[in-house]
Amino acid sequence: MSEVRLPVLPTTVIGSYPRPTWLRRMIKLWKSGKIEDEHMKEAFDDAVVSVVRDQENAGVDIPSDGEQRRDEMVEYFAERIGGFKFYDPIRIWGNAYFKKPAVYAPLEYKGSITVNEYLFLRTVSTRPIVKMTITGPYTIADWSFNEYYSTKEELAFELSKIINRELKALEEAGAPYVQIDEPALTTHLKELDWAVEAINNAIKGVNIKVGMHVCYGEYSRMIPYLDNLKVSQLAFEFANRSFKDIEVVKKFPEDKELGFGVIDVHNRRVETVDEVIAGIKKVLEFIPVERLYINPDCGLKLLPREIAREKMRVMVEAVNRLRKEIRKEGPVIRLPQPNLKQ
Amino acid sequence: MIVEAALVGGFPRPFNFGRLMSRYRDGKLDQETYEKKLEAELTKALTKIVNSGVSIIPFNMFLWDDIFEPFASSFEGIERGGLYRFLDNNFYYRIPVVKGRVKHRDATLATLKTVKEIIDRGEIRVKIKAVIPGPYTFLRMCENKYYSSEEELIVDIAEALGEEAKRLEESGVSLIEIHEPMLVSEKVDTGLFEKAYSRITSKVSKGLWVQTYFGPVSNFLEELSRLKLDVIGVDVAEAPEQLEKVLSSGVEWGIGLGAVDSRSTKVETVKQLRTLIKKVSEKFDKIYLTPNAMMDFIPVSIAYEKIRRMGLAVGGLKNE
Ligand SMILES: [Zn+2]
Repeated sequence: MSEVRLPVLPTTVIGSYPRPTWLRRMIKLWKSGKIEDEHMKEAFDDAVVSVVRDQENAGVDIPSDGEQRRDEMVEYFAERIGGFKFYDPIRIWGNAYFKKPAVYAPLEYKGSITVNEYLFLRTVSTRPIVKMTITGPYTIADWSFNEYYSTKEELAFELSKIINRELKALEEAGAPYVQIDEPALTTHLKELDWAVEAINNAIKGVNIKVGMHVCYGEYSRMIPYLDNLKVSQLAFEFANRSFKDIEVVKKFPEDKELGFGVIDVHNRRVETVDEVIAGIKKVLEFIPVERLYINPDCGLKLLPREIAREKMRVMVEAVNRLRKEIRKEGPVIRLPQPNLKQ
Repeated sequence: MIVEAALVGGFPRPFNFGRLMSRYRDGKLDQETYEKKLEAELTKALTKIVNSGVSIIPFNMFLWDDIFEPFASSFEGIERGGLYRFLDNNFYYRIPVVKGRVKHRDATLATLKTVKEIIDRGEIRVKIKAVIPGPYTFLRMCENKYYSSEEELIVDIAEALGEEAKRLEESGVSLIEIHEPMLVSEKVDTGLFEKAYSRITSKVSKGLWVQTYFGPVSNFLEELSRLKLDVIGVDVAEAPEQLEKVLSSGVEWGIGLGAVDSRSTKVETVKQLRTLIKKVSEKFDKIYLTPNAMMDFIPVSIAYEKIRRMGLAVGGLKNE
């Protein structure tokens, strides 16, 4: 079984990356029936090539496909799992709307959702490790209407079975590193107990590296549940809160790495290299360098592309400077053997 | 006994109208066109709602982004800040940021006038009620960068909101709905609450409707019963267990029976709603059947179906 040793303080992204302007225009035309499906597919592929190149040029060690094919993180999965339907969109603030799915029948896994995304990304990236993202069972349940299952908990557990099959499909395809996105996790603290169980259920029997991303909540409230959580990495946002509450990572269980958010994705101002270095030095007071990955706070998709690019360049430059001081080996990621029958 | 169907907070802004509004705000649509479209949209929606059998609607109907918007942008000393989660919803509001002494400036009267004109021109027979955020909820959900004491802040907020309520009443609005979802939290600071409400009840003597949602207000009913209110809106969709307590409490005036779940796409049956009405009619003789909160959290099509059932439930015992 082969493995890859990464440089110390591996740099990565959370997942989404701004769509190129031309892609957004293509999608609009495609949705109004003016572009054929095969041309749209080519455009999505080319967009992935472009944004992977952006990340690699910036020096990011572990790129993603920028979630170029996904309009929205819950909708994308709900559209591909049996048992969901959509009504008219609901407003979530101002004039921003969300196509909130509704579960109206038993959920059904209709075949892999993201394996083709992985396979294409693998052919495009020059890096040995790439990252895939999957929306977690709790967040899909929380952001859906439940018309079928008797409780939200039951729905989340049914979803965890589906996500489990998807994770296993990604493992079979050879994906070494998947991140489960659970932005809803800190919204209803009373549900954390079973939410953690649902996430554990989703990764049961999965033998690749699985991390989890949560953003914009009270992390301290999550600490008591982390021991029981079976993911090996937690990617948290810290730049947006100006590196406040950073001491919380001192209480991380020793088997968990931190994906440390050093870039604010809700602010167009590009951080300085020194700010990023200062943030990383601060967190190193609480967690050993061996357990630290460096990433932006959250997905970059709401930023203008050139700002996202510049923010990634700054993040990598800060890490490169620190690497001159920290002469250590980085973490190892195991590569699963792809099962080519798939 | 009075039994009426009413909305609280508002009705979902339809997607197409949201797009239009956004174009108007970006300066891509002129005011005249926008106002025409607004009138057409509002007339259509109000007519449909009234035909469902709902007789009382808030006049801000799908116009406000959130319950704080007009006040945070008009009152002196307050600005609108970043997006924050609205309670535990996947719905966000612009946080009111208090940067100076809070003083009243007209916030909603112009909208009231516009909506009244539309209703008159459309010959829509509906009672309108005003919506304001409650001072306690305002205090808990704003960002205070100016006041050194919460008491001074809540008193000034209540003073300004009370002034707005008074002017709305003078403009002919007979019901003022005050949103206080924060009263369902475990511990309410009773002292602050009472200080704030004395500022409002001294300005408006009738038609006050305090609306609570997303949980039980049953632990706070005795304090509320001491106020001069007309209606207390309680959430029995998400917190049905509080109904018994409401029925045995000292609250003597009207009840807003929040029996329709504004966060679920499951549609209540007419029978369910009737059973509840019957139950509360043992104690209350002024009953308003309502959703438990604003309906922004569900698709418009579902909201229409829900209010159709509300209309049927209050529409006498004709069919069923
Ligand atoms: Zn995030």
